[in-house]
Amino acid sequence: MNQPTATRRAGEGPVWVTGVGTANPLGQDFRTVADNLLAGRSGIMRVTDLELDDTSCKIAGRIGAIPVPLGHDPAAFGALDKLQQLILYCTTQALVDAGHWENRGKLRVGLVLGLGAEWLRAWENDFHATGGALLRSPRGDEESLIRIVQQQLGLRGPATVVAAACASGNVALAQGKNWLKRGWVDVCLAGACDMWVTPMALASFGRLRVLSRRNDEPAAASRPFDKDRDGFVMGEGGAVFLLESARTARRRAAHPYAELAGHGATSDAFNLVIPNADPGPASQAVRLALHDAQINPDDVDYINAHATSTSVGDTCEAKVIQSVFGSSVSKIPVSSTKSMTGHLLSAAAAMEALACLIALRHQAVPPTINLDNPDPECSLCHVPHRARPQTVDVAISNSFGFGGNNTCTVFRKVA
Amino acid sequence: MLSKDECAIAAVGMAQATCQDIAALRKNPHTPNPSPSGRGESTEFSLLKHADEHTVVGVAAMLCARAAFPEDFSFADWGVVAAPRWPGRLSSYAPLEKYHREGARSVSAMLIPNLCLHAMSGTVSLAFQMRGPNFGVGGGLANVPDGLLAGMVVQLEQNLPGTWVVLTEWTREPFSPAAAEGTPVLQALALALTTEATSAAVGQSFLFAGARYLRLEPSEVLTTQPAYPRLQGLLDYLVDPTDDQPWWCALDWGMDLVLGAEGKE
Repeated sequence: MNQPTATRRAGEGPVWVTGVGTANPLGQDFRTVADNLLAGRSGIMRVTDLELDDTSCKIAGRIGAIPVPLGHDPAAFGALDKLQQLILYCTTQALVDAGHWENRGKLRVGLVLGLGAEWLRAWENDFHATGGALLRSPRGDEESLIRIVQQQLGLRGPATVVAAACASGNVALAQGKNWLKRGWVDVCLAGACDMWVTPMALASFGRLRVLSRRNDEPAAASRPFDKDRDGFVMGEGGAVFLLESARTARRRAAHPYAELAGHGATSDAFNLVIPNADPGPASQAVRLALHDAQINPDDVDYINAHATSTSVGDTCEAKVIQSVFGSSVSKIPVSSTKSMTGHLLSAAAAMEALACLIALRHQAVPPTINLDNPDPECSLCHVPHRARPQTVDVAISNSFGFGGNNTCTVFRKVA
Repeated sequence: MLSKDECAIAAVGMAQATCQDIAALRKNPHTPNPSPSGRGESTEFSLLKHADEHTVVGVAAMLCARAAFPEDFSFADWGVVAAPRWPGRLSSYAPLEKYHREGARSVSAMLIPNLCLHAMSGTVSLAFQMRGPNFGVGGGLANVPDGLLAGMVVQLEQNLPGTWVVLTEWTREPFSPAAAEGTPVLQALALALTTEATSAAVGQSFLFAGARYLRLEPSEVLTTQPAYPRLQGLLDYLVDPTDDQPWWCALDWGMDLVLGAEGKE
């Protein structure tokens, strides 16, 4: 694989994250999520609103009712599909948080969202409700949610959906950053949302035998790197980030969460579902991200692992981390926040980007809860049960997915 | 010399199939587009057994495009962006019916990996042993401009030797296998985007004659309407590029996507 060019083009500069919008199993704003994440609280619960009689997994990380965001009519918002509510909430919150809500109509605002199953989810929900009217009448789904949301927010700029399975959020962040670098947008909303805790998704993942069956102890079910893990727990939610150049952010005295410093992506070309036991391609994604950020492995202070709590996946990722970080692996703290949130599927990487921002902002590494007996096959510098206060100047987030997707994003504290 | 927002097009492949054709393509995607080199890849495509129809025809278009490259050409470091329009519609109907009849145990484990928006890019990456980035894009009405734009960004920003863009859509949306028999045709286009350096390194002989560049340029006429061009229009241009005008798509943010041959405008 070729190395990215280290020399930046003239006129380019760092890209900062200056706004955050989120609703996820741990909360619906940055501060609440940070409090819960660093306190090691679980957002996993029993699913009670779906008929799951013969489904093996009956637990998930859920979000409650989504608050009406600024500038939206409560009745109209309440009538929307919940995925649309989630996207509107996260994007609006990110614009407000960054201080760009009022002037959004004067800017070229890009919108790139990770979302892997917009239509499958819509068709399934409709099938349960009407017996498949939407599938039989394709005129009903002409507009994608991202276009609808773009129009509702009055945004002018490119808008698209990207899907790299569980790595979608990292791909969205990379695309958003690239749009900024190329001058196609003034600012860009980038992130991912997913609301796919549905009977069919639970059934299909269940048949793949990748879901936990600890239905009687939801908070203990997601246990990445633990010897007694038995699969992942699905989650729902999203996180959207406002990206802008450091130059413009400084000019308006914005308060950055972090610099979006680097990205790397490769493919296993091994199997559509099973991760490659050879750590080579995934390690290359991490190396490309570090190279893009112009840092060395020793510069990393925190690794947010993809680790979903499956036997194969966690072990493979441990090998990847060991391969990239060598002897430093015993010193760089690693945690999987999916132990608390569950696996947000398309939105997982965005959720974990948020965890990195929390680590940078609070100078503390979030824990892996339920890590009672670390798997000896996953020998890493774990942070079990409790957050670890420490200096965090650079945090990276690994995200891998079906289709052999390997991605890594680097975040750097802004001095 | 390519401009800032421009990629060279090294090869083009097209495929189309009705529902009945897809069953045969699933077993041997070479069927409508036999490889000139006679390379017998049908056995390696067992991974299409559970694939969505869009993926099957997309792989067939890739095979067609690959035939333009030298036989020993390696795509190992290439990336792939796939932009199907409404993937999974046909393939999800029967499983949903079955779920309602028989419950969760009837649902296939292969449903999610093969029907999501990322399924085609992942399958193409695996089938052609490409280890660059792969992801799906669009998924709805804007699949053509979304796919072209995303492919261009990957190619321009990630220092890859090349990036495949695969676009697929039905001429008319079918909703169930029975109803889809007959006229609806699933069309696919595979474009190989490269840099000038890559093109030069492997020789110009494989550069596609009818369209040599994909470019983003400022619009002369501003539009506020989203662009939803059909794939058919792009295929028509590529099949018969004698028209002096390039193919173009006005985006609603002040830019045009233009695909054409140098010196033709």
